[in-house]
Amino acid sequence: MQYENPLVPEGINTTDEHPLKEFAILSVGVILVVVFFMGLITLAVELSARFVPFEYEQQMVSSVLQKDPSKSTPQERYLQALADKIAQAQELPKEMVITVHYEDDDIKNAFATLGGHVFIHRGLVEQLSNENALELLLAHEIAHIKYRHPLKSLGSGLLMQIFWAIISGSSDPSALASISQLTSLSYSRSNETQADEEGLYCVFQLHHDVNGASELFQALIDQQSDSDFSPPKYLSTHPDLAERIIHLKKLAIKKGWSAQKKIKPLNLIFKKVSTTSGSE
Amino acid sequence: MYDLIVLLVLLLIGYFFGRMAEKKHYKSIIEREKKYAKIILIATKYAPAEVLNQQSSLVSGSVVISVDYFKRFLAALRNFFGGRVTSYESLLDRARREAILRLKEEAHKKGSNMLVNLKLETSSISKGRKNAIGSVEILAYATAFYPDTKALAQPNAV
Repeated sequence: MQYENPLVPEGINTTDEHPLKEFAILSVGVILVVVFFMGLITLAVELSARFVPFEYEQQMVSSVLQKDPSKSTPQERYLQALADKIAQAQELPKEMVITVHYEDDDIKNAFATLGGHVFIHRGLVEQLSNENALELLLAHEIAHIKYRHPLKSLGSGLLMQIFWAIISGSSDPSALASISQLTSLSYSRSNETQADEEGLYCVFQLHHDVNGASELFQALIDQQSDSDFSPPKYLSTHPDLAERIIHLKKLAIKKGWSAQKKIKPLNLIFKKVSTTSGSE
Repeated sequence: MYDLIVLLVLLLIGYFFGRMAEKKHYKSIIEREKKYAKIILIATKYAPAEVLNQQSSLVSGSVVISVDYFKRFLAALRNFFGGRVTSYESLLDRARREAILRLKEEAHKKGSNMLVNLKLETSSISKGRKNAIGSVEILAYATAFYPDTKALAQPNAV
């Protein structure tokens, strides 16, 4: 018998197609799939949040966010009374109870989180010079709660994590810890706009005037420009402050909300003790 | 953002070095395949009658080859949609041919030009570190017959 091993032609077990071409096609495909599902998750959360009773939110955080009313400071009591007034003006359902926490530190931040808890830091209040701005701040945070933004943020955050875990094939249960996210909930731009609009509307309802309210953002801008190296957290999650001022001014003109009345200065209990920096 | 930059750098490194290595390897494979073409290598289980009275021995050649970051990423993307994992195809093609070439080299050194009953085995070396190590071993082994010898003790040995 005669045997031979002829040379086998190339390209039978492999392909000549350029790997970068395959890479481009597959990447675009994957990105499209991911964007589609992220959109789907956002939409599902947006539509379903209203069916989750507010009580569940309260139960979720009841173990970590507890408050003893007898230990509250005068500032906290003042803010709580203001918040209750605002909650009434915003026609919050009666089960939505707002709890204000006044944090006596220099952090220039304020945020709303699950279960109707609103955190206001002294650092931010000190930047304000009038009551309307403070009211806008509170009304903004309360509007987040009214529209269930903390729940939506948490829900979509968790679903996104599950989604990523599924597509990347890794399942790390510790990544799904929910309570640790309480202070790092971030709201989408449209959520912020919604809260801004509701907040300003609320200020108008309280005084039939919105003069001085947008000072809230102005204070944040000023502080942004002369802040030291690291920008405060409030700013990094609330970009485009100037745009938001313009948006609110336009809204006030469109709705015919006047801004002429004399503004009431900030309550003296928030007055800065030290006089290192002068405010206008 | 930093993750993305790191990913891109890894992909670039994987792509350029992997591509370079593959090109070089294929060149060497094709060259050596021509060189050893005269060594007959067949996969039949039984040896041809002409060589049955010759001495024989086991010869083997093995190679371990690693996947680069780019190929691995491409294969992971391919996982979503299915289809030919072309990035691994060329890798395994190279590994198989290299293993056979090493087999032939050993046979050549021992003075054989007839290899019978070729077998190939593939195993992945990842042992619990699936995402960190993406290497594959290919082992080729066969029975070599030596024309200059006469096996007297066991004439029918294969």
